[in-house]
Amino acid sequence: MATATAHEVDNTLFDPAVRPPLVTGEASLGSITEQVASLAERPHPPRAWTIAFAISSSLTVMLFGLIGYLIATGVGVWGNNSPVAWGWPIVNFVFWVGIGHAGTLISAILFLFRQDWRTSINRFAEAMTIFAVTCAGIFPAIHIGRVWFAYWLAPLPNSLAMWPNFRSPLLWDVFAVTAYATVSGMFWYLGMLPDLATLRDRASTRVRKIAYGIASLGWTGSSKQWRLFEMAYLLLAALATPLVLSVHTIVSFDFAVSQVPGWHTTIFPPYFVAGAVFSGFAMVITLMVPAREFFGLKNLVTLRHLENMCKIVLATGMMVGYAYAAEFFIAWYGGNQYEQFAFVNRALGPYAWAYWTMVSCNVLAPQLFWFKAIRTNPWAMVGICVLVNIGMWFERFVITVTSLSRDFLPSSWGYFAPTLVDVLMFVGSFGLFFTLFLLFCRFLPMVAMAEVKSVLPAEEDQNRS
Amino acid sequence: MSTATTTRPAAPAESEVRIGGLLAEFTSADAVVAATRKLRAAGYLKLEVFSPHPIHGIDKVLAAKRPLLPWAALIGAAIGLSGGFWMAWWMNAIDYPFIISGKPMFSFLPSLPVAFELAILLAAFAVFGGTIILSGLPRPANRLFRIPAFARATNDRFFIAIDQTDSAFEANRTRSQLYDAGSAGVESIPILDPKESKLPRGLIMTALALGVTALIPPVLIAKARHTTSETPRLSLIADMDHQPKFKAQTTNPLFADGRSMRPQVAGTIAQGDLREDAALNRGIRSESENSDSAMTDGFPGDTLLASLESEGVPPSIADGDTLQTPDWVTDFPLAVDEKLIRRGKQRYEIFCATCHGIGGDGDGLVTLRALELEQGTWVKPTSLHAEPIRNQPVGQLYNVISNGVRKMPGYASQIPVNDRWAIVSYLKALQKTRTATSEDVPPDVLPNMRELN
Amino acid sequence: MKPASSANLSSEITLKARRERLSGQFNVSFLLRTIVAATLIGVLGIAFSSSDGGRQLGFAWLLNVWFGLSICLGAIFFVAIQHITRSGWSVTVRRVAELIGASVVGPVVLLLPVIIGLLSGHKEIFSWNDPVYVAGDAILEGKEAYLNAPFFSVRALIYSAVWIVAGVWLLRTSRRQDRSADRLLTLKMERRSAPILILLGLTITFASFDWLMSLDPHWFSTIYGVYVFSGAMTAALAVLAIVAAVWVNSERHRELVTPEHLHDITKLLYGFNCFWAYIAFSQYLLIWYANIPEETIWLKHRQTHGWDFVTLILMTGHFFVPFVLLMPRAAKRNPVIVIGVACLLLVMHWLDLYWLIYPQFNESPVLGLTEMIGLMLVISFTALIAVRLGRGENLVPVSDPRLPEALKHHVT
Repeated sequence: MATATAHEVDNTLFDPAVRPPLVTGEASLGSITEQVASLAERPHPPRAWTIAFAISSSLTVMLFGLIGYLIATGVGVWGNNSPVAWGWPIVNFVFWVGIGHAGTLISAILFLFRQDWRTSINRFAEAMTIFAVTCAGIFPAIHIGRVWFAYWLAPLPNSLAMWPNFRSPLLWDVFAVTAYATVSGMFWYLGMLPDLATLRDRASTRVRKIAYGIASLGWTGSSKQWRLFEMAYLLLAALATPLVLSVHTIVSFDFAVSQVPGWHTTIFPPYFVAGAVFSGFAMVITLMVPAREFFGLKNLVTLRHLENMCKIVLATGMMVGYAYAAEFFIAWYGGNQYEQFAFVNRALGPYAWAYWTMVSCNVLAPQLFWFKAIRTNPWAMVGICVLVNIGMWFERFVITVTSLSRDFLPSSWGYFAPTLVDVLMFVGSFGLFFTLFLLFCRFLPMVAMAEVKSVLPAEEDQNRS
Repeated sequence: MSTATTTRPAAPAESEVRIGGLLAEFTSADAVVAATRKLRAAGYLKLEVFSPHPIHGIDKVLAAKRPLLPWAALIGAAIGLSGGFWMAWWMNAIDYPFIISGKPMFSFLPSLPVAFELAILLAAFAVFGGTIILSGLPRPANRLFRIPAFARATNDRFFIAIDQTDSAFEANRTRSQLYDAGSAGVESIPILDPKESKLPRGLIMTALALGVTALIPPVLIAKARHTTSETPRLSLIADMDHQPKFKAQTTNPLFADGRSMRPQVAGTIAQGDLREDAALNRGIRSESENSDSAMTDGFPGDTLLASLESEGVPPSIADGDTLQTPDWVTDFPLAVDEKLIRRGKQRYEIFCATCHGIGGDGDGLVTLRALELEQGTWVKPTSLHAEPIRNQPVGQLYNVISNGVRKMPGYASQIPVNDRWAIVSYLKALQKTRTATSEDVPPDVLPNMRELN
Repeated sequence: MKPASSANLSSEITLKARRERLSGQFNVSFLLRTIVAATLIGVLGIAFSSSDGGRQLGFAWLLNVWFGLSICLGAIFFVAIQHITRSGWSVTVRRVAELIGASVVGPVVLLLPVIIGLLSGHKEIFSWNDPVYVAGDAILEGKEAYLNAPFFSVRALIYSAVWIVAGVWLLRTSRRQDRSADRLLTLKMERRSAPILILLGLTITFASFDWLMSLDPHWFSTIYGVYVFSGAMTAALAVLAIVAAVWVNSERHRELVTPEHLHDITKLLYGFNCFWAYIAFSQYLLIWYANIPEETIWLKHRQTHGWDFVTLILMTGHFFVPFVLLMPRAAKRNPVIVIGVACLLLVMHWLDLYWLIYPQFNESPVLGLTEMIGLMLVISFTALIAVRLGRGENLVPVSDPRLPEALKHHVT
C-alpha cells in the first residue's frame, strides 16, 4: 500500500518520446483498491476530519437557520434594494454554479479528448460539482420571496391558470440548472457503481454491506455491464459537454439579454463559461492538494496531474483576461457613452476596490503559473487558486453591482452594502459544501478505482496490443 | 477472501450433484482474454467474463453486439427538444398568451435554450435508465455472490462464468478445460433456492407501506382541487391573509358609536364636490332671494314638486311646508355651439334614445318592447315635444336628467355635468325641429332641404 | 525507452515517409501558376473596366483574401494547440497543417493592395476613410484615433508580422527536427506555442475588428473576434479533414492516416462547427433580445432584401446539415461523407464571410464573376505557396519523438 512519501516522484519532467506514468510508484490493481477503499472503510474518522466536520456542520446549521429567518421575515433582511435589486444572492449563485463546471469538464470533456490523467481526479471533481450545484441552487430558490410558491417556476398547472415565461432567461436558468444537477448526478452515480460494488465486496459490517449493496444495485463487473457502462459513459460525456457549456451560457444570458450598460455585451456567453472553468479548476486544486496530502493519494494524484490543472487554470485565466480586454476596447470603440461610463465607473467609481481586487486576482495572480517551479509546488498552487476564487467572486460582484448601482439615470444611483445575513449566508454555503464534501470523503470512493486501474501501465500495454 | 490456488484440486466426488455452472478465476486481463478465445473456440458460447475494469478487446472476442443505447439517447433528445418547443408555443402563445415588450408570441430563438436543456435531460434519462435496465440491474440476489472468491471480481481478479445451460457444458470436462485455459482456480456455482433469492417480506411490506403513505398527499391535493367546500381555506402560511385592519360593516370598539364605517363630519364636502356654481351643477339661479336654496335646491325632491307645478297641480303636500319651486335657470350656463349640440346628440343617442326614441317621441326600443310585453309597471315616457315639456326652463330639464322624474331614474352618476347640458341643448334643438318653419332656416341651407311627403 | 515492438514499425514508416515527396508536384505547381496568372489577368481586367470605382472588386477582394487568410490562421492555431497539449495522434497530419499555416504569407501579401488603397484615400470599402463622411458624425469622430489609414496600416503590419513569423517558425522548427532528430525542439515548440496562441488570439480579434467589423463603422460586438476565429478553425479543420480522408484510402498514405486519425480530425471539426453555431447563436440572440436599434440594424440588413435567404442557407448548411450528417460514429470514419461535409463547410465558411462583408456593399446579395475570380486567385496563390514550401521535403515529421504513437494510433 503506497503511503505518503517524504519526497514525491516528480513525473512532470518528460522526454517527448515517453509518456510518463499516470500512477507513480509500485501499483497494481489490488494496491489501488486497497489504497482508495480503505479510506472509506476506516471505522473511526481521523481527528482532523471530525474537527472539520464539526465546523462545517455548524456553519450549515447556521445557514439553514438564516434561511428560516429569511423566509419568515422576508427578502428585506438582505441588502438588495433599489437600484441594486440583484445583490449577493445572485453573485453567490453564479459563483457556485461556475465552480461546479470544472467537475463536468474533467469528467466529460477531458474524457472526450482522451486525457487519461483525468481518471484519478474525476470522481473528486464530479462530487465537487454536485455539491457546488446544490449550494448554487439554494440561492435562487430562496430569493424569490414566497418560497412556497416555488412550484410556479415549473410548467405545472397552478391555481392561476398561468404558465412560466419561456421567453425569460431566468426561466431558462431553472431548466438549465435542473438539467445540470440531474445529469451530473446521474453521471457521477453511474461512474461510481463499479466502485460501490468494490466497497460492497469488501464490507466488514452488515450495515455497510446492505448500504453499499443497495447503492451498487448488484453490479458484478460482467463484460455486458462494462460494455453498457462504457457506452453510457461516452454518451453521457457527449451530452454533458454541451450541457455544461449551455448552463453557464444561459446564466450569462440573465445579464446579457438586458439593456443595462456593462451587462449587455455579446461576449458574455463564452466569457462566463471560460470563467466558470477557471474558478472550478481553481477550487479543484484547492481541495485536491490538501486531500492528496492528507489521505495519502500522492501516487495517484501526481504532480503531473496538478501541473496539468494549473495549465488549464492559466489558459482559462487568459481567456477571461481576453474578454476583459475585448469588453473594454469595444466600450471605447462603440462610442456608447453609457457603456463607456460603466467601465470608467468600474475602475474609478465607488466599487473600484472590488474591481482592482478582481483584476489582480484573475489576471495577475494566475500569471505566476508560467513558471514551472510554481506549477509544481502544491502549496503555492493553493495560494494562487484561493486568490483566483476570490477574484472570480468579485468578478460576479463587480458585474452585478456596479452596473446596477450606476446605470442610465443619475438620480437613481445608489450604493449597495450587504447585510450581516448576506455575509453569513455565503459563509454558511461554504459550510454546506464542505459538510457534503467531507461526508463524501468519509463514505464514498474518492478516486475512480476502476478507471485508474484501466490506465495502469500494465493494463495500458494490454490495451494497446 | 479466499486466495487462488495454483495446484489443481481433484474433481469433486459429487459430480452427480447439480451445479448452476462453473466459475474460473484468472490473475490478469491478458490471461482471461486468451482463455475466452480458447473457450469460445471450444464451443462455449454462453460464457460471461467478469473484471474489475473494462477490458478492451473482449467485446470482439465475445462477438458482442453494440448496445442500442445511442438510439435511446436520440429518442430521448427528440422528445425533449420537441417538448420544449411545444411548451413554449402552447403555454405562452396559445393557452395564456404572454404579451411582452414587442416580442413575438412564439419565437424559435428564445425557446431554444429550454428545448435544448430538456433534450439533454431526457436523453440522459434514457441513457441512464437504459443502462441500468439493460444491465439487468438492480439485481440484489446473484448466485455468484455466494462464492467467496468472487468478491475479488471488483478488486484485482478476473473471472469466467459458464452457466450449466450452455450446450457444451459438462461439469468435469468443462472444469478441466478451464484449468487448461489458464485458470488459477475453479469453483462451482451454486443453484440458488428460489426462496432465498426473494426479497425479504419485511422489506416488501415496508416499501408498500411507504408507497401507500406517499400517495396520500397527492390524493388529498387532487381531492381539494376538484371539490368545493363551505369552510374557508387553510392557510399554512398566513402571508397577508389576516391583516390588522377594520373592514366595512363590522363593529369597532374604538369609536363611541361602534361603527367601523365613519360618517362624514357635518359640513364637510369631499374635494371636488363643492360645486358652487348652482346654475351649472343644478340648473338653479344662484342669485335667487333664498340664497340657502342655491346650495340645497335642485335635489331629487325638487323635481317632483317642479313637475307637479308645471302640470298645474298645486303644492299640497303638507301644511306649513316651506318647499318652494326652485328658481330654474332659463339660459344655458355654458356656451352653446354646434360642437355642444353635436355632443349632446351623441350622448342623447347613447343614454336617452333607448326609452325616449331617436326623435324624442317616447318610442324608443326599450319602450316598444316593454309595451309589447305588457308588463303593466311600465310608463311610456312623455313625448319631449309635448307642450309642458317644451315650456320647461332649461334648468329644469337639466334637473330631470340629473335626478330623474317619476319612473325615470337620475343619470347624474352616468353623465357628467357638461354632457347633461349638451343633451339639454340638443333637446331644445330637437324640439325646434317640430316647431320651426322655413323662415327659421338660414338662407344658404334652405335650398339643400327638400320637401318631405 | 521506445517499446521494442514498435521500433521496427516506426523505422519502416520513417523510411517510407522520407520518400514522401510530392511526386508530380511539378505538374501541380505548373497548373497552379497558370491559374494564378489567368485569374490575376482577370482581376486586373475587372479593375480597369469597373464602373463603380473598383468598389465591388474591393469587396470581393477582401472577402476572398480573408477566406484564404482564415484557413491559414486556423491551421497555425491547430499546430500550436497540438504542440501545447503534447498530442501524439496528430503528428502524421501536422506537417500538412504546418504547410498551410506557413502559406499565410500568400493572403497577407494579397492584403497589400487594400492597404495601399487606404493610404491613398480609397474610401469605397472602408467608409471611415472618407473625411467628409466622418465629419459631423459624433460616433465616427470619436473613433478617429483608431480608425484612420496610417494606424490601420501599422496594425495590419503587426498582425501580418506575427502571423508570418508564427507560421514560418513552426514549419521551420519542425523541419529542423526532421534533420536533427533533436527532442528538445519538441519542448521548444511546446513552450513557444503558448505565446503564439495568445498573440494569435489577439491579432485575429483585432484584425477582424479592423478589416471586417469596421466595414460598418457604427456597429460593434464584443464576440466578433471569437466568431471569426471559430469560423476560421472550422474551415482549417475542414481542409485537414479532406486531406485525411483522401490519405486514409490512398495506397501511399494509408499507414500514416488510419481511420482513427480521420475520426479524431472529424470529431474536432464537428466540435468546432458546433462552437461556431453556438457563438453565432449567442450573438444573434443577445442582439435580438435587447432590441437596441444601434445593434439590430446590422442584423436587419441581413434579414431583408434577399439576405434572409442567405441567412437561412447559412443556418441550414453551416450547422444543421453537418450536425446531422456527421453525428453517427460511422459517418465520421467514412471518407466519402467526411469529404462531402467538409467541402460543404468550406463553401459555408465562404458564405459566412460573404454574409459578414457583403451587406455593407449592397442592399441585396450580388454574386458574380468578380467574386469567383477573386476566390480562384486567392486559393490558387495560397496553394501554390504551400506546394512550393513543401517541395522536396517530408510530408510527415519523420523524426518527431511522438511519431510512433501516431503510427500506432488505435482506439477500440
